[in-house]
This record gives sequence, structure tokens and C-alpha cells, in this order.
Amino acid sequence: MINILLPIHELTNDIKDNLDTAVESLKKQTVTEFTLTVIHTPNKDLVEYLTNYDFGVPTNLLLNEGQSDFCSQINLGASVSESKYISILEVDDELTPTYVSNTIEHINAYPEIDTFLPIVVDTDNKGEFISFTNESVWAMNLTEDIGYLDNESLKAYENYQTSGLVIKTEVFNEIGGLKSNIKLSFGYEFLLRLTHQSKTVYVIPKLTYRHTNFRKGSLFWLYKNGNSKLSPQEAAFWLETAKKEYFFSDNREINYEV
Amino acid sequence: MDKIKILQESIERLDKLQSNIYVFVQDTKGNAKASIKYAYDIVRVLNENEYNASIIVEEKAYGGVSSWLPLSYEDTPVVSIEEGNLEVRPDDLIVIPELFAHVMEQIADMPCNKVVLCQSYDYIFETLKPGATWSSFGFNRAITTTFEQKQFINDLFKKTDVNVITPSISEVFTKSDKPQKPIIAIHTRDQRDTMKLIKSFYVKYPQYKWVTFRDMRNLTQEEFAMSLRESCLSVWVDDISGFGTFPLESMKSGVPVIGKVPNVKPEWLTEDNGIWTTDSNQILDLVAAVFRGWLEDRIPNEVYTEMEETVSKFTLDTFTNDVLSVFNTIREERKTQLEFTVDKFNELETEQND
Repeated sequence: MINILLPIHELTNDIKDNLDTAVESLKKQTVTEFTLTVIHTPNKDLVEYLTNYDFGVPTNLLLNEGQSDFCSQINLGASVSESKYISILEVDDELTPTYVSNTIEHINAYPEIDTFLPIVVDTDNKGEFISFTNESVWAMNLTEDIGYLDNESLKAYENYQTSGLVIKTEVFNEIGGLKSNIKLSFGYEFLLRLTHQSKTVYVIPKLTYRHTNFRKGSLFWLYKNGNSKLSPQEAAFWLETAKKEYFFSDNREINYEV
Repeated sequence: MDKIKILQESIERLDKLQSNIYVFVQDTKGNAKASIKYAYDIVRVLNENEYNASIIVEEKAYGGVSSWLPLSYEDTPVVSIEEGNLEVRPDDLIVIPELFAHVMEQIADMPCNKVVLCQSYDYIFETLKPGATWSSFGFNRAITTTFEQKQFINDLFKKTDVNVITPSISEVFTKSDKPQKPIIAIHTRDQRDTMKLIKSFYVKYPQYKWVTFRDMRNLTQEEFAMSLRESCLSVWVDDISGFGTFPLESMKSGVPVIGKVPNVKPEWLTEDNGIWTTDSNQILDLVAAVFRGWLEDRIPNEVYTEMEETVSKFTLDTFTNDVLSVFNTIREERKTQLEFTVDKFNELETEQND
């Protein structure tokens, strides 16, 4: 029923460790109604490593010979997925054992809903709790309808994330997937686009997804510390860009200019 | 002669279930109250089983229960004392709640049978004069809701016969067919405690500021049941509770209860059918911990199983059997008393004739 998409673009010791943790969390799921699709680059070491890796759950390896950024990898996975729902699992994150069962319970209860977000537990590198994300839709009077994310609330309050998102595959492809040309705020832009197009986004009120904040080498760590480091001005630029780009389904070329 | 005739007619009326049974309730002015529903349920069961029962109220302008109980309750006959045309016979029965000792005093000289309805032991002395007992006003029998309360009453009033009628938990309380939401239903005896608990929870646990607490006051029964079933937890603080309808309604709705054990512990309360504490200062921390457990699916299945088992005992069938058994006993006992009195009058008359 759910195809869990897990993109990997390179092979490092950190990624090997993280993959173990992510896959272990899949093995511990209390139900088995899911498959895993690992989308990976043609990197020879990576291909060999994944081919010999014991996933322990039904897994497809999907070779990506195109753009290797996170968004493009996910878009490729969604474009070939035959499951009704896809889910996004980042390699440095982990699911709690009831992630799939809670998702299925909610899909069955609310088949009309297009997208489900978990309440994400953000941790530091040592696994210590930092905060929750996506939980605020359950606060009284924050959104128009309690539990549901809406466009107006998103514009006023940006702190939502797509990690652990579950979405109807058809809807994901129909609205154009994630935009690789948007740095930093591509998840935010995606949620804005979804809600702008009247797709329903519901937050499952369960702590089923653990997200490591600013793991060394992660995309967001690189935005803050690595070669692709963003200045505060550029970070603000991408947030503003998200608010302008969500009207468009296509991945338009955007460049940051001072 | 007339006296004997009246008594014989009364005995006949008791036999034919024609005697009036009046169950006194206070006017809650449209506010939901489990104790009032219990009184109505007794009257309804009696009437469904050929008895002749009514609710009795003080004032003609009685607010009724239609604003919070289902429409079917509107059919329950209601009479008011204020109307002034209330005539009672020796076979009639008046049931007065424990809180209304002043009413017991007012009707002490009425020739009818009298029973106390004691749902909350804590109110027994609320309006009783010092030194007075129910027997002082001719009330020698009481009905209560639990065996613990029966024990409590018997310790106080040795002469009073006490019967237990176990309340039923309405069929309107069902489990939700949708997943529960991060809503915590809260019910406290004093509304100030509700507000105190909510406000201090948000201050002590700001990471859970997004949780909704729902004060379960002033809702219709339907709204109440709906709100309860979509909640993930419920909180119950009521030190003087006599029975504990709210936690049982929670259990029937599949909602785990975090509760402060009342001063008189209800017999249904076990170690495993809820999260209980005797220390009210622990409630906040328990709410936070259990809520976190719910968010992480860590509430043991045993709690849900125990809840189901506990509440399965409070059915309408059990309640109906209890009501009929108790009121039949009262009726038989009254009949025996009246027959005895008739015999005595007859003996007296024979002696006078001799």
C-alpha cells in the first residue's frame, strides 16, 4: 500500500551507519504493508554496497542516472511507483515501529485525504530531543480546521517539514513533485503548492518519525556549514521564493542574486 | 372503618402496581448532571415495567432535561409540588435525594412510604440538622449506587436498610471509528480545578501547548459522548464522587482515564483499568507522561482490555434488574406493613366491639 522512498546519493561511513538505523526501523514495523524503494546514483561503490545489503524488508533498488539531488531522486521514485501512496524517508532519519500502522489506520479512516504528515521529533546528533515539528496544527485556532494544514497558516508560520510525509502517488505527480531549483525551502514550497491546489494535508497526531537536525553532511548541514553554505540573506530569499513559486507546477530556473 | 378501607385499597393498589412512585430531583436549569439522569432512568425502567412512577420537582417552572438528554426522556412524567394537587396514599412512595433533608422534614408527616436516594455520601449532612437522621423523618430505607457507599451509610445510620442499584452506562457511549485526536477530556467537581489544571499544564509542559483540553461541562449527552470518544485521554478529579460515572463513560468510549482516587474508592476501580493516583499533585505529571505514551503508542493494551471488562458490568440489563428487584422489595415490605396495620386495626375494632 505504501512505497517508502529512500534516496541515497553517495556512500560514506556516516551514510552506511545511518542506512543501518533507517532500515532497522523499517524491520521493526508492526505491520508489513509497505515496500522500500532505494533510489541511488550510479556510483559503483554505492551500487555494489546496496546490491549486497540485507534490507530484510521487501526492497526495490532504483538506479537514478539523472540529477542526484534529493528532490530529483524523490521525483524519480514517485514517477515509477505503482503503490497508491508514497512516503519519504531520509537516510539519516528513523521511523518508530508504529509509523506504518498509524499511517494505514489514518488512510483507512480518511481515504479522502491526500497527504499525511507525522509529528516529527527533532533530535540532535546524540539523539536528544530538541522539539516537535508539524504538531502546531493541533493547537486550537491556529489553522482553519484543527489537524489540517492550510495555505494561510503555512504562509504565516513556516515551521513544517515534509520528512515522513505520506502522499497519494497520483497527487504527488499531478502537482509536479519537489522542485530541485529551490534550495532550503523546497519542502515548504511543496506544502504551499499542495494546499494552494486544495489538496488536503492532515497531521497524524503521533510521534512516528525521528529526524536528526543538522546531521554533519546532511543537505541542511551543508546549507549551514558546507560548500553550499547560505548566508542569512540567501536563506530569507529562498523562503520568500517558496511563497512566490508555489503558484507554478513546473520547476522554474531560479538564481539567488544580491 | 374508613382507615381500614383506605389501607385495604392501598394493599390492592400495591398488588396491582397502581401506587404512585415519586422520585424527587432538583432543577439543574438545563445543566447536565449524572445524578439527575440516574433518577430519570429509575423512573423510566419502572414505567417500562408497569409501575406508575413520576419525577417530582419543587417548582412548576421546571427546566426539564430536554436540553441535554435525548428526546425520549421528555416522555417521563413530571409533577410539581408547587401545583398543590399532590395527594399521597399509604401505598405511594416518595424518593428524596440525600441533599434534600429539609424536604424530608417537610414531608415527615405524610402517610406514604419514604426512601432516600443517596448518590453522594458527601452531601448526607449538607441540610440535616445536627443530631437528626433520616429515620427522624420516617425514612428508614435508602438506595445508593455502590457497596462502598452502602457501607458508609450503614456505619452512620444503623437503622437504615440500604439497597444498591448500580447505574448503567448509556449505550450512547461508543468507541470512535476514527483514530483518536490529541484532545484531553477533563472533568472535575469544581470548575476552578479544571482551569487550574489546564493552565498549569501549559506552563509546566510548554512542549505540549498544542494539546486541546476539553472541559466536559454544559454539553448535551450527545455532544458529551461525541467529544469523549474523539479524545485520546480523560482526566477525572472528584474527591467526593460517590460512583464515578465520568471515568466509566470514558472507558466505554475507549479513552484511558487519569484519575485521582476519590475519598471513597469505587469498587470498579482497579489498579489496571486506568492511571490512578491518590496525590492530586501528581496529576499534571501523569497527564504529560501518559499523553507522551499515547503519542508514542506505548499505552499497554492491557489498560484498554481492563477498561472494557470493567465497563461491561454496567449494562442496562443489570440496572433494570436492580431497579425491579429493589422496588419490588420495597413494595412487598410496604404491603406487609399495611397488612399488619390492618390486622391491628381489626383487632382493636374487635376489642372495642367486645
